[in-house]
Amino acid sequence: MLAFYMSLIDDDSDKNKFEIIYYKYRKQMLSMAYSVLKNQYDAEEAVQETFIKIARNIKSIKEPQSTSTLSYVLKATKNNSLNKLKSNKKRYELYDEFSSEKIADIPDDTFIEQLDIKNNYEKTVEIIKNMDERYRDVLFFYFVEEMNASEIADLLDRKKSTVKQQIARGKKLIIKKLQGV
Amino acid sequence: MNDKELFIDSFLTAEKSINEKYINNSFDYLHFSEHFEKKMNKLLKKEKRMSFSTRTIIKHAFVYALIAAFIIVTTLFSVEATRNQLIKFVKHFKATYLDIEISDESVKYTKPIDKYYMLSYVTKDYKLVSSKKEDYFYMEVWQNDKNEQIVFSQGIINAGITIDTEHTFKQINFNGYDAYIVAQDKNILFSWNDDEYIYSIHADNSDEEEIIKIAKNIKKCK
Repeated sequence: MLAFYMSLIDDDSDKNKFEIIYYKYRKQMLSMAYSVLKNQYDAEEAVQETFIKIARNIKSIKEPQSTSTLSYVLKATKNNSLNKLKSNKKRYELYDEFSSEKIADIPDDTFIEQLDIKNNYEKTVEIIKNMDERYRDVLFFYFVEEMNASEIADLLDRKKSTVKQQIARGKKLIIKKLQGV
Repeated sequence: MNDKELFIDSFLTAEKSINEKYINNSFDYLHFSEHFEKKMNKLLKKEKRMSFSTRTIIKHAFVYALIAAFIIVTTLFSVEATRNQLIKFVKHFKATYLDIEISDESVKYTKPIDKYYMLSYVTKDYKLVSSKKEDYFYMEVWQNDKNEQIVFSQGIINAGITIDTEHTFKQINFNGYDAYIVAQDKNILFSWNDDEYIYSIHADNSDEEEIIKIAKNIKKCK
C-alpha cells in the first residue's frame, strides 16, 4: 500500500512505477514466459526473476503505461525465459562473444545519419520487425530506453561485451539491409 | 521530430506491430499460483518500503514524506454479516517501526479503481491545483496562497507496508472502520479505508478536527 503513498510523494516515483508495471503487465509477462518455457512453474519463476531485474533497473523506465514499457517488460521476460533454457543462452553468448568477426561500432550520430530515416521510415520499420531479436532487443533498450551497455547486460543477463557487440552488429545490420546488401 | 526521434518512432511502430497480441489483451484466463503471489508480495513490499528515518522533504508531488509514514493498520470486516472477512492485516511491532502484512487468507484487490472519489469540502482559501487519475490511484492537490497544501488520495488495498512509529499516532473509528492520524506539529495525515479502497488526506497546516471534516465530505466523481 505504501507504493500508493509513494506515488503521491513523487509523481514518477520508481516505487510507484514498479507497482503499476506489476499489476498492468504481469499476465502478459506470464503469457510470454509460458510461450517459451511451456510450463507454469518455470514461467512464474521467469516472471518473478524478471520483476527483480526490472526493480533493479526501474530508473530506466520512463512512462509505465506506455507501449514502449510493454515492449520493455516483454523483452525482459522473453530473454529471461530464454536464459532459463541454458543451451539457448550459451548459443547467443558464444556467437557474439567469440565470433571471429568483431564489429567496430558505428557512432550513433553516424548511424542515424546513414539511416536517412526521413526517406526510409517504412523500410526501417520492416527491417526492425524482421531482424534477429537478440539485436532488436539491445537496440531497443539502447535507443528507445536510453540504457547503457551495463544496464542492458544486467537486464538481459548477457555480458556487457556481448551487448556492446550486439549493438554494433544491430546497427550494421540495419544499415546493410537499408542499402540492400 | 529530428532524425533520432524519427528512428525511435520507427522502432516503436515496429514494436507495436510485434506485440500486437499483447496490447489490449488482459489475459484474464491466466492465473498465478499462491506461491508466486506470496513471493511477489514480498518483493512488492520490499520495493515499497520507505523509512521515515530517511525522511527528506520530497516536494516533487507536493507532499512531504510524512505522508508515507503511515497507514492502514486494521482489520477490515464486511459491513454485511453474511459476507466473509475480506482483509486482515497482521501487525508486527518492532523497536522503531511497525510491519503490517496482509494475511494469507485475505482477499486482495488488484483490479483498477472503478469508483473515484474527490473532496467536496476543503479549508477556506484552498484551490485545486492539480489532480491525477491512474488505474490504481487518484489524487488531488489543493493549495492556498502560502503554498500550504492539502492532498487527497485514493488507492486500492493490495499489499503490506512498513511504517515508522516515531510520530504522534492515533487510532479512531471512522465510518465504521479503523482510521489513523499521524501528526507532526501542524503537518497531519489522516488515513482510512473501506472494503475496497484506502484513502488519505494530508495537510501541511491543519488539525484533527478539520482534516476529519474534509474526510467526511468526499464524494464520488461523476
